[in-house]
Amino acid sequence: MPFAESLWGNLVQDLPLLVPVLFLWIVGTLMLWPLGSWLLKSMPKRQWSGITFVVLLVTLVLVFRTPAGQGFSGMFQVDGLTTGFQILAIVAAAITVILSQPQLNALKEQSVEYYALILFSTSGMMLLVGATDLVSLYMALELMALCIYILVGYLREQDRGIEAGIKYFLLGAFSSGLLVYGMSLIFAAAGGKTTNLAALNQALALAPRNAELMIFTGVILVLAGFGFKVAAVPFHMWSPDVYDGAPTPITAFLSTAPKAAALGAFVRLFGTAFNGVHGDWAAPLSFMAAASMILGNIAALRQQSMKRLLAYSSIAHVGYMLLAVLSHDAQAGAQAIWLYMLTYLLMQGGVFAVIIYLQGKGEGERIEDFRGLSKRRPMLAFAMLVFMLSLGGIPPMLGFFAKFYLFKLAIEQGFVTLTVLAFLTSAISAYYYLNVVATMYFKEAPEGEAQPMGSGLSIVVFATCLLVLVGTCLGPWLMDWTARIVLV
Amino acid sequence: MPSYAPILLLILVAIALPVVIWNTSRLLRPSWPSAAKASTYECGIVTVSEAREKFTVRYYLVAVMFLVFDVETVFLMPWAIQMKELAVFGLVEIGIFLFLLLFGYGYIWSKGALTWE
Amino acid sequence: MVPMNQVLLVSFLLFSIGVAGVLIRRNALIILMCVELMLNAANLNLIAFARHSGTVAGQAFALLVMGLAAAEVAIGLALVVALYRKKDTVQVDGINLLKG
Repeated sequence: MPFAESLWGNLVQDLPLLVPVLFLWIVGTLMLWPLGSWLLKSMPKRQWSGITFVVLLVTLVLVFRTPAGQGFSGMFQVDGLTTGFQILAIVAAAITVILSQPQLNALKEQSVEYYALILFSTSGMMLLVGATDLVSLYMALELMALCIYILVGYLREQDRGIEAGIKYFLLGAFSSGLLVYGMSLIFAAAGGKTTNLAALNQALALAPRNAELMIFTGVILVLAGFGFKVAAVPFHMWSPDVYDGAPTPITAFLSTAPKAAALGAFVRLFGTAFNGVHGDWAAPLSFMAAASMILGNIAALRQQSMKRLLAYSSIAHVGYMLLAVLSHDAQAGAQAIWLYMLTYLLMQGGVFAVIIYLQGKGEGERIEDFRGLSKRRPMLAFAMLVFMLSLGGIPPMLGFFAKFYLFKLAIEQGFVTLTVLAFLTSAISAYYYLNVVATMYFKEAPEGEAQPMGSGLSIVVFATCLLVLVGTCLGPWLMDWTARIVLV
Repeated sequence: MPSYAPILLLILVAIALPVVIWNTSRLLRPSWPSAAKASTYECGIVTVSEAREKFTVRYYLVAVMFLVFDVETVFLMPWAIQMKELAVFGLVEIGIFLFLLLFGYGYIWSKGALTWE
Repeated sequence: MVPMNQVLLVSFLLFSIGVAGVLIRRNALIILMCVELMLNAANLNLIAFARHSGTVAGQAFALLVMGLAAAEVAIGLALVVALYRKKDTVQVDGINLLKG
């Protein structure tokens, strides 16, 4: 049987590419059963967050050791883009796990499932960024999304929790319906022979003229599906509500990891398969980017809740990053997005750590709760100041450099109008970020004692703050460093 | 399309038969309608409630688990078709797949989802 | 062989019904069914064109879509049951604590 023999050979050859993902799958499954629910039943549930953190660190090491290559009949590829965005997903998951520990303790909602789902979802993201075939792309996207649906609705005893869960699920399912139908149209227009991204690009170039409408519809539907996943206007409606209702650590997760992974897949899909039909999606995508920047920033101006403010501002940040997806040069685009996403992830992680600290004291997540923070906890207020200035892209902070490289790329690619728009809306964003700073420094503190902060939260706040400051000092060299990691 | 002729014939007969029987009996039978005759017939006992009853939520739990395990058999199909060509390799692969389902089964069992108290 | 135009038409109709249902209906279970309709429209395309070209890539994709759709429905049903326990309704209109 030479056929079966060759299958064995291929499997052994390709398996090293998937080692980090397989590791996550095996550990996650064992955590659910038999370890979590049978063997280690008497172990305190809070220890699972530490174990999960260690697992994620091991995965990070495995990602660095994974060789580059392509395998599984052209379905999965490990290259600079894959490794780079896998790192982002793992870092985001690790920050989430640390943030979850105090929050779930306070709510008495610790469980093995929560951490296992974070692991499974991370494995989906790691597959997603390396997927080079419509089939594996869709499977990875669903693996990522299905786990997050449950995590968003995790606090099912709270009205807001279950509401956010069902809202996110229904819109997510709808968007994956759009996505699959779009994929099926593309597949049909390409002659129904292949689902491989590179082969699709060639087949679409040879498609008959009467298939043009089909290709256009398919590309637009796929664009809409991805628009939902990254929460770009006009597919952003779910995002503020879901951010508000989900458990706060999951909000931090949701605003970083799936967006990073979906943007990575976005660049690969549109840069590879739909490269030849650039004209079909350039205009709609520019519209999405522009609308996200404008609407995200303007809606954030009038928010009272910190979580909703971050939700709207994250819509705006996605708008900036879509500029890089538009780029004709997929490699440069991926690098700019990677750097931006990395800085965004650090700042966002720090901000959410502060929010969770304030929540732990029984205060809500309103911006009002931050007043007088500089008197109560000066170090914390300083960290928050760093995050806010950096998120606003105020020079010479880290966020400024990330934005600078992104806008520079967009100018080089000839999107001058969009870049000017991005620059103006970015100035608007400075207003609401500075508003938070003003609330912390110039408003009277409410009555009450400052409480000590948990060790996990302090570590996150100070590590991210330190990294942002170090990044600020190294700003001019960041892009060269990025180019070395994300070589597409 | 000669090969479809018998099917067409069958459809015609299937439609004609009830129409003929029902109309014949309508012509022959006496007709004295009453409320008792118009009510739902269920083995002769007087009906107590609507047929559209709410099920307890537990049925949904069982349905959800059944659904997942049932549809996973869809992945056995391609293997079954290509069984001879795939030989031992296919057997091992499908064995791994079924082995993984076992973990899911173990999990729902340990969670007590299978007990109906 | 059925012409491909007709397959596309049927799948487009199925997809449109699904989208319209999601946008119009307010019962979470019916929205779930309409999403299934959309996925099956895609499946129809995949299978028809795979058969047309005589290759199997599309058929494998369709099988995968079926499996994932089942997983999605399982999670959806679980969420709907949780919603029902909490709110005593499966109407999406009934959930309005969070306002965009």
